[in-house]
Amino acid sequence: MSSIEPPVDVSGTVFEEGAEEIAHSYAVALLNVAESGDEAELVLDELDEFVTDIFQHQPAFARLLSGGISDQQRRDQLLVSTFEGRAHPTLLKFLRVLNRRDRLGLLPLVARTARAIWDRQNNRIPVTIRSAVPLDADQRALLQDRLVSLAGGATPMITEEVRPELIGGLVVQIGDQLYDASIRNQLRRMHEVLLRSRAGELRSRLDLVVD
Amino acid sequence: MKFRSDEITSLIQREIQEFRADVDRVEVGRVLEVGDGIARIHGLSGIMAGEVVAFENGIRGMALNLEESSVGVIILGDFKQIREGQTATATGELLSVPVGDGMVGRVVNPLGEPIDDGGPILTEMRRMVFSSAPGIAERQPVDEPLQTGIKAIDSMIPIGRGQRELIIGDRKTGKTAVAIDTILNQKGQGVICVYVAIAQKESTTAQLVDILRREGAMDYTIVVAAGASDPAPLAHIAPYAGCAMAEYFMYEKGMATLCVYDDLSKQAVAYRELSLLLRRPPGREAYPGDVFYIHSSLLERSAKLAEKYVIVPESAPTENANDPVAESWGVNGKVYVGVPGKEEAAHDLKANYATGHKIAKTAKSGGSLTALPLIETLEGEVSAYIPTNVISITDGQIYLQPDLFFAGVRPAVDVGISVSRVGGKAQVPAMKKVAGGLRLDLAAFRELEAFAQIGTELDKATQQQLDRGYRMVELLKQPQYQPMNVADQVMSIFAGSEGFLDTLPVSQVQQFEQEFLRFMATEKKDLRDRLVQEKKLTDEIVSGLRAALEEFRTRYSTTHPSQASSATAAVASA
Repeated sequence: MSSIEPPVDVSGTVFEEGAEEIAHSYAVALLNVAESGDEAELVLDELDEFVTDIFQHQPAFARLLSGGISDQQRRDQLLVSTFEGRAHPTLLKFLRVLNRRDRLGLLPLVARTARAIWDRQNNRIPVTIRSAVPLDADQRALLQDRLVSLAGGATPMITEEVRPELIGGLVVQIGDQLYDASIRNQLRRMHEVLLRSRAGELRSRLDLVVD
Repeated sequence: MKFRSDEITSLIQREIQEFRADVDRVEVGRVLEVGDGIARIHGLSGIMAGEVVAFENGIRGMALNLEESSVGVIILGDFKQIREGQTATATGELLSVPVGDGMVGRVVNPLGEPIDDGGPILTEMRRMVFSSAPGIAERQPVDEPLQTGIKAIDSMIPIGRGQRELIIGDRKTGKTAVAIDTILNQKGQGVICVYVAIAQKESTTAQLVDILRREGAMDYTIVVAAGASDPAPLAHIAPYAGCAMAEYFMYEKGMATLCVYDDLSKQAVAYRELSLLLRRPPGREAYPGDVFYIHSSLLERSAKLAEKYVIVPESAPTENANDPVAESWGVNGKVYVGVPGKEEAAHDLKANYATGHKIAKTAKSGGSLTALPLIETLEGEVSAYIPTNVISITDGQIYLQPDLFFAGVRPAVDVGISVSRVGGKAQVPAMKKVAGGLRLDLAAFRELEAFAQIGTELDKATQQQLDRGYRMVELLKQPQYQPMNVADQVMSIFAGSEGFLDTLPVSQVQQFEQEFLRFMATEKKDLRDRLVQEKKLTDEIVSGLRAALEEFRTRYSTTHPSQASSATAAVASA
């Protein structure tokens, strides 16, 4: 079918309908297959790695896979020759299925969706901790306890980031909730308060300006 | 000049000492994609519909689409500064704009930020942009006129305070001119006006502000401008923002207000753009399904609020602006609401407080918001989607016709198909009386006009009706930016319908009218003042007017002998 009418690239336009729904279907299918073999964690990790390695670090190769080579069979050969024996067999099969349906371009979205579904199923919640300096073991242990209560029973999946621009303190993001206790935020708040309350007072007390 | 920096330092120091640092807890999401004026955000799972979203760089947005894994947001600012991957924070607030007396005389954008050179706007108050309309119990029937100062409209399509009157017509037929004249005519009437320019050229808006300023109308007007180059979300929210600014004066101060939405077709187009970008299903003419609701929810906010009365001692200062009548002043603790309330108050006053008391209206009650939405039609097509919607929502419409406009009938109001469904009740009695005759004259004229064009021989009576019609049409012409006092309008139309113009050539009608009004304002000031005051055509005023017209006609024929003789010739030949 694609040989008669080359598909128009509509990604990112209003014509790109339901990419999320499509990705969702593939993600659920992949998880079901992987779960039946009890290797979901493994496959998901490899999928994430694949997306990072190929789609982020080798964009040229990614472009080839997601449509740069128009012949589907040649893409399939490329997939097999590159990843056979290296990638998990389930993952490779999955990639070949995506290729056959011309959906390799959706892979990053599929990976993200699959990860989100898997985390939700296992009651895990992503947590990002940003601090100005790296945390030490005591701090980490202390945080771990607090996080469990804040996350409402879910298992926190912690990622740590060092952000010197925070000056000090911590910024913790649990799911969509962001707790900002950084010095940068406090300075910003103080700036706002000073502007709001004192600007009026200074303006009204023009007697402070002496001729 | 020297600053006492030590004092300033101590002020700041005190503030820092008092500052308490809390942990901020906010809900965040990540921008997935950005389009023309919209963004899709991943996360923000607990956001409310209509909640304001703040992007990293301070630009704000409003959540419109809540989907399973993402949120569709309209961006109220420069969307080009927003990048994929930026964080967006839910603010927990609904969209609001600053309101208050400080807004009057200013030109602001739809977020209420000043875009003129008048510096910051000092006001603490804010109102919700998308608030709901007042309910039945809070309203009362429209009973006060809102004078547009345009003869054709005030006489035959009268508008009341709290009414929604649509101004509809093709491009370049003078829709905005009608609205602007109405704003100019509110000078000294205690009406706050809000002009909302939606997706208009900046040059047009600048010109308009200049006219308002020159005519002294900016003293009571707020201009809300969303330019043609501003993104669609701003054009979409502009009328709601303008409405909120007017609502402050209606609800909080009990004042009469007027909102001009120029124009709602462009707002509908902006909303269509947003809806399509947000992937909402398109319907007729690709407008989304709720395009009726966006207009009805806006226009329903126009209202005449119920007046509230209290019974107060005779000595109570009811005219003092600094100490306005409050509901707590009532001697019997009772507040009487609306028209039935007023009757009840009169009854109670008579029964229980025979002497030494009076009825007073509370200061904050009885405000009104009159809406003049504009709709631009294409080639006179009023049965298109948006025009039919807005026609069905409003309480009447003023049709402006291009062929009338180019024939020199300006304002080009087609009085045959223009209607006002509620304004008639609010018309001043004098105008009501003369307008009846005018309407009849014009209706008879329209019927006969076709005959005249095919050059048929006409009997004398028919010819007379035609002559009257030509003169009445001429009389209803009015130059731009010259709204007229209602008393002057009554006197002009009276002169026409009483036949005082019949002997004049048509080309002389306007000059006669102008000089007659000048004559009344200077030499018959007493009579004019009485009409202004009483607003009724009593027998005495009618006979006075007739006498004045006779006197003026004689004088006119002597000062303009050539016209008078040609007029006599015209009459003789007829």
